[in-house]
This record gives sequence, C-alpha cells and structure tokens, in this order.
Amino acid sequence: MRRGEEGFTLVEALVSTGLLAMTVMGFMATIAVSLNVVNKVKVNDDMDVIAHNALTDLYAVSVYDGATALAGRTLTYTVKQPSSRTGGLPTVYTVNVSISPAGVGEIVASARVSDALGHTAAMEGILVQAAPAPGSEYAPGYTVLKKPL
Amino acid sequence: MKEEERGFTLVEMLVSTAIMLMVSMSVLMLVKSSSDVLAARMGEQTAGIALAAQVNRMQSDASCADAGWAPNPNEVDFYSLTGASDANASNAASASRGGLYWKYLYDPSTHTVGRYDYTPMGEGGIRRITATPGYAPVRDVSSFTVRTVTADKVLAGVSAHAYPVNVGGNGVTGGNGVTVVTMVTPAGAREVHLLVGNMPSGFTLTNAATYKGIVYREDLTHRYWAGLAGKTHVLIKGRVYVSYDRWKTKAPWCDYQIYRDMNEVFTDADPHERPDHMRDVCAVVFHAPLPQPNPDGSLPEGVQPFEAPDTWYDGGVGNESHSWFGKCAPAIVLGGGIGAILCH
Repeated sequence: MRRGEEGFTLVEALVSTGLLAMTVMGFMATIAVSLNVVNKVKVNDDMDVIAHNALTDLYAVSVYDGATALAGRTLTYTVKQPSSRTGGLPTVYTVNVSISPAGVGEIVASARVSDALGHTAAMEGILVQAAPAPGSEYAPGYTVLKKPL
Repeated sequence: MKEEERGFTLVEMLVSTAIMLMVSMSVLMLVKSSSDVLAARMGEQTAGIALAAQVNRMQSDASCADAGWAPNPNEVDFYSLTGASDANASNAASASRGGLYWKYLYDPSTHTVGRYDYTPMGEGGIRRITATPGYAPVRDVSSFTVRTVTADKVLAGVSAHAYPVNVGGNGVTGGNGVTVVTMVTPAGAREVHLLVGNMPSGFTLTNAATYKGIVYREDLTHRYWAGLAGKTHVLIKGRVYVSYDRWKTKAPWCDYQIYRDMNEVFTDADPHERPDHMRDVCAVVFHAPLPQPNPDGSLPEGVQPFEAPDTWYDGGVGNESHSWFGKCAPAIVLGGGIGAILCH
C-alpha cells in the first residue's frame, strides 16, 4: 500500500469524531444558554411585577389604617401567573412579605418572590400612612369620603 | 490492480451516501428546530418588552393619579387634579373642577390596548375622546380584564377598611381600593395591581346625601261607553333617589303621587316638582327613612350602578303610557257597562 492511501488510525477517527461532537454540543449549549437568558428575563419580569403588587397591596391596607398591628408580621401566600398558551399550566410563585416598623406611621416592607426552580426577586419599600382612619375621627358608618378640592 | 488499490463498490457507495444523507438531514433538522425555538422566544422577548413597558406605564400613571377605577372590565381610567380647565366635565356640577382624565381601553376586535385622553369640548364640558399622541397601542393582546378590589379584601388575614374617595365628578373615585389589570400577550400574562398614589391627607365627608327626582306624567286619557265619551286623566308621579358619592351609585328612596286631577296640564315650573320638594315629601310626608351607607361604605340593597349620567335630569318630565283597556278589561268582563263606568 502506498503512503497516502492508507486508512485512518483509531486515534485519528476518535479525535475527528470528538471534534464533531464538541462542535454540535457547543451549538446546542449556545441555544440552551440563549433560551435560558430569554426565560430568565421573563421570569424576572414576572417576579418583579409580583413583588411590586405585594407592596401595592400592603400600602392599600395601611395607607389609612396604619400598619402598627402588622409590624413584625410575615405574610406568605402563593400567586398563580396564568400561562399565555392555551391550556398551559400557570406558573406558581411564592410571595413572602416581612414587615418591620420604621418611623412614626411608617413601616418597611420587604417582598421576596420565588419559584419552584429557585429563581428569586426581592423588593423593599417604605410605606407611609397618608392619613388617619376616618372611622377614628368621625361617626362610624360615614365612610364615603371626598378629597378636598 | 492490487487489492488495496481497488475503488469502492456500488453497494459501499450507496450505503455511505445514505448514511451521510441521514446524518446531514438530522443535523439540519436540529439546527432548524433550534433556530425556530430561539426565534419564537426572541419574538416573545420583543413582545415582553412592550408588555413590561405597558405595566410600567400603568404603574406610573397610578402613582401620580388622584383616582383610578374600572368603569367596565375592558377599561381602566385615571384622573389627576390639576389647575387646568376641566377635562371631565360631564355636567354643570363638575364643570368647575380642573384635571386630566385618561384611560386605557382594550379593543377585543383588534386585540390592542390603546391609551386615550378626554378633552373638553363645547358648552357644558361635553367630552371628546382622542388617542394619546405618540402612544403606540400594545398589540396581540388576547385578553385584558380590569377589576377593583376593595382594601378590606386585598390581603387575606389582614384587617383593613375600604375608603372610597370621590375627588369630584361622576365615577371619579379613588381611595385605597386596588385596581387589578390582567393582560395576556404572546410574551406571557401579567397581573398588575394599581393603587392611586396621591392619597389625600385630609378628608371631607360627603355623607350629606344629594337627592334627585324624576317626575313622570302618566297619560291615562281614555274613552269609554263604546267611544262615545272620553276622559282626560293625567297622573303625576315622583320618584326620588339618593346618592352619597356624587351619583356614581344611587339608592331609591321613595315613590309618590303628586296629584291627580282631570284635565291637569303639567308644568315643570310648578314648585311642587322641584327636587327639594321631593325630599321633603319623602322625609316629612311619608316618613321614609333615608337610606344610609353600610359600615363598609357600600350603599344598601337596591343600589344600582349609575350607568347613564347623561340621561339624568333634575325635575324633568317623562312619559309612561298605560293601556286603559288592559287595566279595565277585567272590570268590563265582570261588570259590563257598570264596570266600565267605574273603571276610570
């Protein structure tokens, strides 16, 4: 057999196959990383909005009544974010809100949102009581209010 | 030809070509499916940016608004008090109030969410709705719903009072209620909670109820004795409603009959048809108790949403026609001519 007409050695075959496999794996890994980045952005957006919602809800219940009774409490509940696909399962997030007192009529609320895969988002806000509860100043039952113009 | 110098056989060529084709096709399909998935996700991400922008915009709007509410499930409205001329004057009572009034409205036919401004137009502040300049509607919205949750029901296990705050004008109600907007787009679903940020530091109670009445003229003109005789019969009725939130909601108070005279000609200048008189009749003459708000701020049973403020009128005149035949038919059947005579 003349030189140049001989077949591949086992090492050459293994190396070439390995290079091919690594190229395909690299391509697949790039796709997976890209998808993960896209998904992570979506999950982060979800959790940011849910954390913001938690602080909004807490402000709604404390803006007139105050939050003295809530200080030191921890609220835990789940939020089901509906799927955008027909028949898709909702994504379940766990919301953990901890409340601590701050200044007079103020509380610090920390909302932590997590999903089953371990993604987390946290948001913190200082909530200030805007006005005393009308029921404490006026006759009970008169709860339809009007903002001074 | 030596053994090691021979070429490939036809079978070897076919087998190797087939194997190469299969491998190439597999790799191509893998690349294509991966690219499709990635492209779809990138498209979702683009839609997600629009969705996130919309969420941020609504949160920002709520933080600077004095009132935010949901007049219907497809719409969320905002109002902000300013020194400018009133943009929401739907009647003379609110014409002097200055402010900006805008909304996000979902169009199910085009699957878009647009932003619109109310601008004043003409005498009496008739509203004109125009698309907000520079605002690109959010597209491909498959679902958009708005609902209001009162503060006492926002967080389970947390006690709070619901305090709706009316900032003047029909439906312009804020306070500590949370407006929940749910949007579904290809990028996903978002539920965003909105709370108007400009909470009043002082309150004025509006427990002093306002009253409005409608006067109906029932035309009972009829003929009898086989049409040989006739009688003009006019019945004037009053119907009084009360509201504690500037007619966002109303409760019926009392119905009464003003007078019943033959050949009476109704005149809206008659002092007996003024709303003040109706209030006196309900409270003084009939001793009808004034409907009071419930402790949670809601009005008692029987309260209906005030859906058509433009059709309301103070002391106006309506007509209700009743069939004399339908009313008197039983009397005629039972009493013949005597029954017909008595039935008027």
